[in-house]
Amino acid sequence: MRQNNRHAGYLLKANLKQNLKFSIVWLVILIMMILSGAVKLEAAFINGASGSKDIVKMLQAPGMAAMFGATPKVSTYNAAIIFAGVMVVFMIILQALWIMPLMIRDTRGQEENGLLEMVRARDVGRTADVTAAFWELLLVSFVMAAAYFASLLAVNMDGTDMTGDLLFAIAMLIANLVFGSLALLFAQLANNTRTASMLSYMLLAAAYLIRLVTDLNHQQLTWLSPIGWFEKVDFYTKNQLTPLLLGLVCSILLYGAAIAIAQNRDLGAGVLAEGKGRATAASWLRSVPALIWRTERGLLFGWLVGAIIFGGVMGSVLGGVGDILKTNPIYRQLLDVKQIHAANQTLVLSFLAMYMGIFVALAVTAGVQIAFRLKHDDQLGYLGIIHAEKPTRATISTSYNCWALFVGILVLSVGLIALFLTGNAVLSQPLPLKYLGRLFIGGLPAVLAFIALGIALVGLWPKLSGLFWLYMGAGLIVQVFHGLFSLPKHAGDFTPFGWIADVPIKALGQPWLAVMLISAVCLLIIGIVGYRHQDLSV
Amino acid sequence: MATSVIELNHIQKKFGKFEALKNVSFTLSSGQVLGFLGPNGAGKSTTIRIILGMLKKTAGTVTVFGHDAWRDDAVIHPQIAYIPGDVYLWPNLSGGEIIDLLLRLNGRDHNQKTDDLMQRFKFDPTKKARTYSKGNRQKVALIAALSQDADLYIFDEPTSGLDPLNEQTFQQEVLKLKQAGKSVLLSSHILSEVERMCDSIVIIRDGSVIESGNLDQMQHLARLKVEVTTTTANDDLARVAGVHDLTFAAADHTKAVFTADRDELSRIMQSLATASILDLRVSPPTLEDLFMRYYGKQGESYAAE
Repeated sequence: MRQNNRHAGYLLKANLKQNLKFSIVWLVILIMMILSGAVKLEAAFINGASGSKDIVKMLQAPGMAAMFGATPKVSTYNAAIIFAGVMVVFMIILQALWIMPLMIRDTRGQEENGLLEMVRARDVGRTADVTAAFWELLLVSFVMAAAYFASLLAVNMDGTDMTGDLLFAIAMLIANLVFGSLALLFAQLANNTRTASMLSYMLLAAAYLIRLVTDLNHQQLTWLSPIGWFEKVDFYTKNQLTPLLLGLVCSILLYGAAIAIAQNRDLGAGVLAEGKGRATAASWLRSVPALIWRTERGLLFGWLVGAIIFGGVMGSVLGGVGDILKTNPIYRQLLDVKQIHAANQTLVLSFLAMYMGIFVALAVTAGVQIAFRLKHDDQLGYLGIIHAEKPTRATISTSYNCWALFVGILVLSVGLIALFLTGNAVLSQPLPLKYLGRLFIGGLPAVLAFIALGIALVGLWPKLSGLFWLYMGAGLIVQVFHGLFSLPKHAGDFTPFGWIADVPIKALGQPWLAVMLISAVCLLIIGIVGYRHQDLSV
Repeated sequence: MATSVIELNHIQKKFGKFEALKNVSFTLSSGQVLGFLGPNGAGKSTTIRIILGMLKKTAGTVTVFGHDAWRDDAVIHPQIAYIPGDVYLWPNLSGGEIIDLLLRLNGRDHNQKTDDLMQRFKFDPTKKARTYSKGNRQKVALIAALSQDADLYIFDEPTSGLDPLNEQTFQQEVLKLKQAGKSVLLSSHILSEVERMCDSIVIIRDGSVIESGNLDQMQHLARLKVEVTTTTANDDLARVAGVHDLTFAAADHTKAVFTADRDELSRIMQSLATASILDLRVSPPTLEDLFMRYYGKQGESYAAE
């Protein structure tokens, strides 16, 4: 064992240096989230009972429970309990988005680009890369947890104590270990980073969806999701330790499995088998758009299946959401049947309005991923030989960009249709078709505008394209938390998420529709022209 | 006079503050095979990428087939076959798929020549590109480029990953192109390759062309290598004009090795004769000598002369 890990320390140092910027940016984002969450909730609870009651009520609504996790049922709520209820699921997801690519990059990524081969030819052990990555995981997660702990102590919310704060910090550390070691295992199973990342994100999405469904209907089943384990700790109330132990044991097992595979496999190989290729190209493979289809179709299928599942799951919970009598039986005495129906429908629509942003964000992520492939394929040199051929840069970038827009439209459409169909199957009063229309008229322009922004960035300043995720992420977070943290009504209006916030309760206003469509066209043109004038980073 | 296929005039390229190319000018005439030499980092690949319109020059003019390399890339590229120095391929596609795609993108198709080349290079097209070695990735680009009937072939260190047999196959193919009257720009480090195939060469160093011309002429202009053994000591040699890099092989200074300017040959011989010559060997400079001279530290002073 020791022999196999020799000189992992050197790799750790190199990795830490290599990933420093990436990790620091993420750490800053995460700590800001914790701090602002704690400060905002503390403020709401200090301001008096009315504000805090509103927040508790809001959180108990099905939409919020689905998004953030079930709020624990206690007689009196304080800022700390609500903080844990809101932040646990959300922080775990954010952290996983940082940790999983980091782990894959440190292991399979280095193997794929040939670095590991050179390193391993030196006096470096067979599993040293996996071990070094795991140490890095421990180290950065520890820094993160320490910062969380210090932040929570500093804010000192109503209802917190040292034990609770410490437990929260440790739980977030363990959550990192679970998803980090999972990514490490996938990086050993697959023989390339793309498959490894895809498997990791799919598992993260599945974990989120399982807890979403179970939090709404069968809370005892939330145990099925690794994210659910951390909800079950019940921070600041019961402070259960079992789920944390479970997480710890699970990460050790996953890490052990990764090590076991790394010990026995060939360099560059994985466990999942790779088939033989074709001797000649299919007859349709004769253009750049066809090439993109050939290289990205796996990703596209993954997104479509994901969109159908997500839409289907969200639709299937609409029945429970649109049952106002369940949430408040007093209404039966106050309202007649028609009014109850109307109230139910309003509930469903506001639930949809809340999730509209998520649907748009998913579609945008799918599309922008393709748009960013242009830069990616240039940097990896794949396009080098294509650039010397007949297709011009305009052809090449237009092909990528149109695919990006198309994938965004497709993912959104498929998701919304799945949502609408399953929703109407479970609702006692199906939603009229006009609401689907509103979802489309609101969602599509937003998706197009967002993706076109990504396209423009790749064309003009490819090095800054990472900022896109920051912009979109900030927009989504502000929109999602906007009610909870009592931010000004238009706080989210710096991205399209704010502009479509009321869809489908209201139809999207003409001005915003025009703004989004016109900016989409302009940004697309800027992106293509910008790419025409770039020095290609080959 | 043959028409020029590539014409570079005082090309300059800056990446931020770094000046990658300071002054690069040369011409590739129709039917010519031009060797493009220079040490690592001299700017060979940058120059080639400017010719291909992948990088925008900072100053100067580049034309290919009489068209501007940056603006008219759409007109130029279909007539070009290019092999990059480092070939990177979509990891998930097979070699065969990529070759077909590259041909089709230029409006050609998989042909008899493609199959012949695959056989000659002993290339397995069914493997995924992820599993190919550097040499095999290079073969993908080679086969796609050579089975395309182009007017201009640009090779950027095309054989750096090939074994000697495949290298020979490649050289034979280039000689065929030469016989067919095609124009070829060949950047290479393998001097025997350049010597055998190229009519003229261009040497670039630190972003500037320091020598260019016909290979024979250059060899003629360059100094001769002289090894001489005399009966008595040869100390006078150091003072004779036209003698360079003088070293004595024996302690009594009877064996000398030096390089000699051709214009000063008779004076040098007179001086040698006074020490009575026992053995004399004079060899013309190989490309290797030229290369070493231009590449090494002496290059600067030599180029200045």
